[in-house]
Amino acid sequence: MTALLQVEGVGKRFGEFAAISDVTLDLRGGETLGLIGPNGAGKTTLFNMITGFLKPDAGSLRFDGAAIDRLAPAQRVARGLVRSFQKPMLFPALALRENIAMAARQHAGRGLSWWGGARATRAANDEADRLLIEAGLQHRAEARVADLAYGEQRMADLLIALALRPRLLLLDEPTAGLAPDEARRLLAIIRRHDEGTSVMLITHEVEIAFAACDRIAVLNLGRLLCLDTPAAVQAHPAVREAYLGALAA
Amino acid sequence: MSLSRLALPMAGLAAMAAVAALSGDFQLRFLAEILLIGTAVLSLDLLIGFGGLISLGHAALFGSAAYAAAIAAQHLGASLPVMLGIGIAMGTAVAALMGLVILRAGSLFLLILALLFGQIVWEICFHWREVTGGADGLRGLPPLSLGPWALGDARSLFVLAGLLALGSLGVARSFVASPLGRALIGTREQPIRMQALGYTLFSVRFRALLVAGAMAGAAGSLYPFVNLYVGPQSVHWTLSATMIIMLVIGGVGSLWGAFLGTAVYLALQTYVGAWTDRWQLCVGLLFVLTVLVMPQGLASGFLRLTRKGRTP
Ligand SMILES: Nc1ncnc2c1ncn2[C@@H]1O[C@H](COP(=O)(O)OP(=O)(O)O)[C@@H](O)[C@H]1O
Ligand SMILES: [Mg+2]
Repeated sequence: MTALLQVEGVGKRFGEFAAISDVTLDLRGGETLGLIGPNGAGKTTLFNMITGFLKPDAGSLRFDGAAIDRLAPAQRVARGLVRSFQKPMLFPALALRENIAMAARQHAGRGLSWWGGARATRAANDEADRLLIEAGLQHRAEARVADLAYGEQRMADLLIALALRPRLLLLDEPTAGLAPDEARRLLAIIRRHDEGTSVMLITHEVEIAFAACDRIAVLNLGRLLCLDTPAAVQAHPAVREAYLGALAA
Repeated sequence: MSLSRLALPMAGLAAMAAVAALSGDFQLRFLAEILLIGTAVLSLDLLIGFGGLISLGHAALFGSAAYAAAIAAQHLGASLPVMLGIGIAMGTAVAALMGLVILRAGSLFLLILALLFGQIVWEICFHWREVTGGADGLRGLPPLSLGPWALGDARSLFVLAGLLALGSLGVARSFVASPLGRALIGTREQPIRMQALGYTLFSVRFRALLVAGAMAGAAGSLYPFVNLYVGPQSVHWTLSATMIIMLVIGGVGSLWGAFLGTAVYLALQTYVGAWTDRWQLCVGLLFVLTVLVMPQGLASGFLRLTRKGRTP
């Protein structure tokens, strides 16, 4: 299997503080890679660098064999690198359907059209409705996102990302704050879309990582502790000490 | 559905015809001025109301188009399509330059950069005496015409301005409903997510600025022919600020409120101004009252009243 994403010696400092130090990892095409680690370990910072929202101080990034270090966030999205945010980032004043259609139009290359925009709008709304039906949210299509429940917002956040038909989907704690059944529904939708899509999943909940991921990367204090199969990670002494042990204790 | 979509423009045309038949020359020229400046304010509403881009340099787009049309008219005569073409081209070109300067920055800096950009345009108009007439402006323009028809009389000017206003309102509505218009709203609501969806903020905002520039330019190109004069106050930053005040009074994001706000402002200036120098105090009071009592502007206040009247 060839690597879809290669992170090579990446580092990021905020002033004196090293949020990420010399992280090297690869993500294989088709796999679901978990990214776990305690609060403040640097998981979101790593996502920000992969997706172009932060510039690394060191290291390089390759996606599908090509260097992406100099690409703006939007250009990385065009290559299929799509992210969600730890805190849902939606368009609160717009309807749920319109939130998803905003993504679908851009994916269809019609995000900035005007003439002939009516057809693009219709196609994008259809795509949004398909996703909403799949998530069981079609009855909320017209609701302002600000009026949705928290769990619905998290789901909306995922559907927006899925409307971009990502090649690599980076999800930042998608199940945080969800009730167990809501989390299960959300994970089921991710799984249903993971054909042709690789996933990088930040999560706080170790059980989810072990259940949903092919491999798991463990970050601690900005450094990569290990990257291996769930079973191997669970047995890894440094991980047990730094993270799992703390949980078990 | 097509009937109700046509209802508003038809009502607008009917009102225009009635006003054109019943009003005197002074009123018609005054109304033409309201409609032209209102169209410029409408174009500003696209930027402020939908993009959250508070530009304090909008008069530069309107005024430079007015100058371009007036200067061209002195050499080529004032054929309507030529004037409109020149105005739209000038408004769009100046907007493109302006966009390259102001869209690099965030909100407060954008406002100030737009102000500085507008001042540069004003400096050019004020000091390039041979071409622009400097402080005196340009007078003695030929009247507007279309082929064999002279359009220089008050009634024709009013009808032209009304058609331009209605057309611009249609264009603005279509823009706001289009993917580009939705994207502009997206950049206002959640700029970071828009980038995560693959939108480039600059591309969205730059296009919106071009649309606004073309619209303001079209309005500006007819403006000199209302009073057969154009002067440096048409590009001055105080007109830019006035446009923002008109928009706030009329209702940011309401589109047609742009005309309402412009009408109220210019009516106060003309009628209260004839009676006391303190008319600006009235404008200030009205502005404060609007912000306090109807923060959505007169347009939505008006709609709320009529809706209340309809549903018991
Ligand atoms: N923009 C920033 N400026 C300064 N410090 C930051 C910034 N972003 C993150 N940090 C710090 O970097 C560390 C890692 O943060 P983050 O990547 O959000 O951790 P995680 O997502 O693993 O919880 C934290 O200590 C955080 O306070
Ligand atoms: Mg985080």
